[in-house]
Amino acid sequence: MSEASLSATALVARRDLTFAKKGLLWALLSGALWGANGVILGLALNRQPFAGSPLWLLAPLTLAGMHDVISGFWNLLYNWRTGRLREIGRSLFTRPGLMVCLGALFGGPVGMGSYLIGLNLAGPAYVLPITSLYPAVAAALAMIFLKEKIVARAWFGLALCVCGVAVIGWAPPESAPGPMFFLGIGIAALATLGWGAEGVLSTSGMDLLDPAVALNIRQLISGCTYLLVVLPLAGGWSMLGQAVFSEAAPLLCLAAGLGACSYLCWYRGMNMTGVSRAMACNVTYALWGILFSALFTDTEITANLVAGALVILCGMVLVVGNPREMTSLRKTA
Amino acid sequence: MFGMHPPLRFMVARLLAEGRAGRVDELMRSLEPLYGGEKQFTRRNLEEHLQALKAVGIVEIAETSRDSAGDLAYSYRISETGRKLMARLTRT
Repeated sequence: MSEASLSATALVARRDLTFAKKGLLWALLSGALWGANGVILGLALNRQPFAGSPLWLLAPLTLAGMHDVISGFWNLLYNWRTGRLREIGRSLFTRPGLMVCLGALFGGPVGMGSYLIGLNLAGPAYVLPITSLYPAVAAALAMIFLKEKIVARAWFGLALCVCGVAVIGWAPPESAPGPMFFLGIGIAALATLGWGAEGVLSTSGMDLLDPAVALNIRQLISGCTYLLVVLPLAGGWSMLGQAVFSEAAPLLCLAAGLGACSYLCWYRGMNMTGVSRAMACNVTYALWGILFSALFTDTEITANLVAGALVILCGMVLVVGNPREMTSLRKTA
Repeated sequence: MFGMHPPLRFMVARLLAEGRAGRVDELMRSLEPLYGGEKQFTRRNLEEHLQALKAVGIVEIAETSRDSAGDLAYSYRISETGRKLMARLTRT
């Protein structure tokens, strides 16, 4: 239908729908890029100084810290190119900016640190299914704090996404639970909460901040906290010096670049289409990860992986649902 | 803080809350002295900020009209949710 023949209301509705669909595309792209990022980070972890390191906590935390710092520099470059550099300073000391900073701490050091400690104390068989709950936690928090509208069908879809991620990540327990098992489970739950809270806090900040700027703040705050607080607590910077000049460094730079793009798409997606939908699209990273692993590494495609991927896909379709529901994301006063 | 302007999206919401502008070209004129020299200050970017503010319920469309070229032109206003939010943020 031509634009001239449509009523103003229909044109507004069409414009809103296009905006929301664009948000969905950003969120989907974030999943694909995060899948590629995971594969490359996996390759970096298999090289010196990370491969076979006896420092079970320090090695992955160093990698995570370097990832966020380098990713923050990629974001800086983007913001410089697009004329948003000054916005970072302006945004940092506003209340929405502080929400983003808090989200950075929850999603970065708290989320990742807890995940790694949980993995060590309770094992992946239990920790991966628990942490895969983070999109559902984010949706619940978004419904409570952002008044996001989430229908019953979307909850069912989110449950499917969580199951799909759990199926893909699940591995049978290798040994009987140790004495710290329940502590590990509790810490894994903290990681889930941290990742869920990041989405909601950042989205709340992005109500009044540009997503690209919010993300830059997130990466730099998270990266600096890793470097200045988390690494000294976890054993120091010894591995950092080795990693900077190692064969893993170029891979890490590439992964951080993909990570920066993925996060940018994810933040835009959350801002444009809501936390629950963006999360459901973002968890397709597990599906993309399988595809990229099969293409670029010698990972075997098992029935578990295919089943998990299909379940995620069905869940995502249910969460996205009717695009017309996306034009008004929240219950208003 | 430190004599800096607020972030652009924040400022758009503030102008609408103060009722100092409603149409995109009015907003462009009001914001030009503060952000005019920056590459981010484009009509397209401003429209995207407005659309994002509308999606989360901070602003709403007040009226639509056809411009001289026959394209639809939008006029925005702050919503009740947006008014409360901006009042809270301006107070603190």
